[in-house]
Amino acid sequence: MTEGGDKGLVLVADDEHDIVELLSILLRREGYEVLTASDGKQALALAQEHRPRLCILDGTMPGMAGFEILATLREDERTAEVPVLILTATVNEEREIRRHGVVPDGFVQKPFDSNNLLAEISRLVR
Amino acid sequence: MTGGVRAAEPRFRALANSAPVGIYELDSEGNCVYVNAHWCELAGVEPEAALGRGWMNVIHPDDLGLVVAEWTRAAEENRGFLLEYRYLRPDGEIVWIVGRAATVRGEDGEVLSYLGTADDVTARRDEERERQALAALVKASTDAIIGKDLDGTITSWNPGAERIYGYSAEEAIGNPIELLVPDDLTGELESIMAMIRKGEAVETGETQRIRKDGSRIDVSVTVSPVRDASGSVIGASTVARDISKRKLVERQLDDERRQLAEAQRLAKVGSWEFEPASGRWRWSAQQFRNLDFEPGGEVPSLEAVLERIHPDDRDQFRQHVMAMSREGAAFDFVFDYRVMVSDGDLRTLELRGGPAPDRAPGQREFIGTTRDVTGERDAERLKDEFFSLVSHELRTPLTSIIGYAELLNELEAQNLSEQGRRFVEVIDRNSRRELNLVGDLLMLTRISAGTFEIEFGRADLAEIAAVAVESARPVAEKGGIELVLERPETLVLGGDRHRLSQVAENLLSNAIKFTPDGGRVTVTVTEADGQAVLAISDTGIGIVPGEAGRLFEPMYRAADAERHHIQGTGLGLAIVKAIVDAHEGTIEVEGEQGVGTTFTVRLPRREPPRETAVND
Repeated sequence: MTEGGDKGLVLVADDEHDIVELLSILLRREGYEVLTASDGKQALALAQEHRPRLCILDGTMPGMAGFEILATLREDERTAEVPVLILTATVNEEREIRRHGVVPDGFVQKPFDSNNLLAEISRLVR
Repeated sequence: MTGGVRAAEPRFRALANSAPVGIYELDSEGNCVYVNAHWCELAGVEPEAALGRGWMNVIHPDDLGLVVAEWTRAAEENRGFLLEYRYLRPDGEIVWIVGRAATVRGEDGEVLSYLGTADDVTARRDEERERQALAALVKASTDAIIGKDLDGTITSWNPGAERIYGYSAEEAIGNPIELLVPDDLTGELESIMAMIRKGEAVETGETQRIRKDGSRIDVSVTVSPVRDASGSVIGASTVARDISKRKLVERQLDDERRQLAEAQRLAKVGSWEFEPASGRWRWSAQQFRNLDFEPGGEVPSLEAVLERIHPDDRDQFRQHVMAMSREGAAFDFVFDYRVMVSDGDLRTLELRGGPAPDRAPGQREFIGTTRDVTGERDAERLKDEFFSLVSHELRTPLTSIIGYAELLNELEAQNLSEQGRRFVEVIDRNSRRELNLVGDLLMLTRISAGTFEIEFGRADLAEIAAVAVESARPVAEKGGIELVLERPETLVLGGDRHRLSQVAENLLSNAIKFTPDGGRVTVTVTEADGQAVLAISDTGIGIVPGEAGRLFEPMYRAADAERHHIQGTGLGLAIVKAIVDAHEGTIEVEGEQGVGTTFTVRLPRREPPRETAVND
């Protein structure tokens, strides 16, 4: 499922297929290689297997939400260093952070401005 | 000297000497020549001391003048002497006597001597005085004091009885006592009379009697038997006290107590008092129920209360009790805690408290309430969850709409016709409008949940106003509205730059929206009294009188906005107000219908934090 450029591998996980595709287009255009998942379990498996340069995870996916994946990745020393950007349409990011006790490297609210999102991504993969 | 007791025959002399009355004899010159044994006893002197002028020494000095005057008058009027006066005995005792004297005359009418008697009336006088004092007491008493015979016929009636029952003494005396007793209490009267016949006193406690006007009166009655000299009961005396005022106050207190208890039960508000010195609590019935205890009885121990409280909330509760117990503590507090009730549910209680007004100097107490807010808190939580859900469900499709419209514009623009590009622009503009709306809703949710916070930084109000004016210019020009900006070079303060921009943008877009074509909108930034002031005036439709205060309520739409079909959600001003509040500033609105409106925002000029280098 990988395709695209040479700036590194980015995992995109969202249960909304339209958004996965939108992000893929934006990322490939910037020269990233993109790996996609449509649910939390699949996303975790891909992240553990490929250890991408960046994981962009939907905050509220069925099966396993972005924050749970984040917590699992952080507990494993092989994936603890993988940067995670949480993309969310919810309101209470502070509450989510408190509940899971982990802070993501980046946090972007949906809907996003593509320029702002890309700026945040390039900050995280640097 | 001839005649007189002295010279009397021995039989008469013996009689005089043993008579139970003082007897004396004076000669025609007024010198005492004889006193009998009883007189000596009365006067407390030996017979010799009375002889000659000695008898006068016994008369009380204050009464001597009276005695002489009566003596003279009696002689002039040729009648016997009669006077009530005092002896002052050498031992200091006073004896009241009734003195009588007669003149003994010879055959030619010449005065031979005077014969006098002295009767001791001290005891009678004392009794009389006592009787008068008692009568005065009965008369002055505010209680009804009534005498009756064994048949229950009223024999005496004091002014107190007149006042309490309304009958005069003339009306009452001779009537049966049943006159005063309500029909339903005749049994009480019968048992009273039965006790009296047995010679026992009766206290009724609180009872009722009937007044002359037919109304009932609350009284407490004591009935005591009256005996004659031989000790047999001949009647009864009744003392009745008017307790209607006390009963009225008691009934009022009772009503108030019942009302308070019922109000507490309905409102689910319990009340409590705490006395730190003794560690004692007083709880209302509802306070017991709120904490799931049976009302009445002892207030449960702190440990028993803590056991009911959710473990996460126990510390806060315990800390507040400890804080109240601290020497001189006086503070207000309010917090929620949860109680585990017997059916397994959690109940949320809002506890409020503060220092009570002093009962007595130095007696420090706390007083407060406990309100069951479970329903309210659930509703608030549901509302917040609903807003979050709605916001989430709106945002997800918007992400795609905005994202793909952007892609279309950037990547496919060259493949689109002029009209196609315009269509994309319409999609983009409207989806951003909806995004702003969702953002406003989200913010209101945070404001109402109390989680809205500002990012405190450096904000230049002059620049913020200039940027807002520039971005509003295209819309204003389209409506032929003149935009005027008056600003200093800079006006820096500590605040949230983005949120303050939102304030300026919202107020400015409102002003333009409500101003008819050809009007003018003026934005002024000034500094006054150490505050940064942003004023936005328009020549628009103004505001309806009395509406100013409501404009800042969420979802409130100005009456004229509806009438003029001006679009809006009613969220903008609520958000502006919340942002201004978060900056501890104020916002005011003034306006006149058909003339225009001015919004004035005043922000305290707090020191902005020192700029830190942004390391990107």
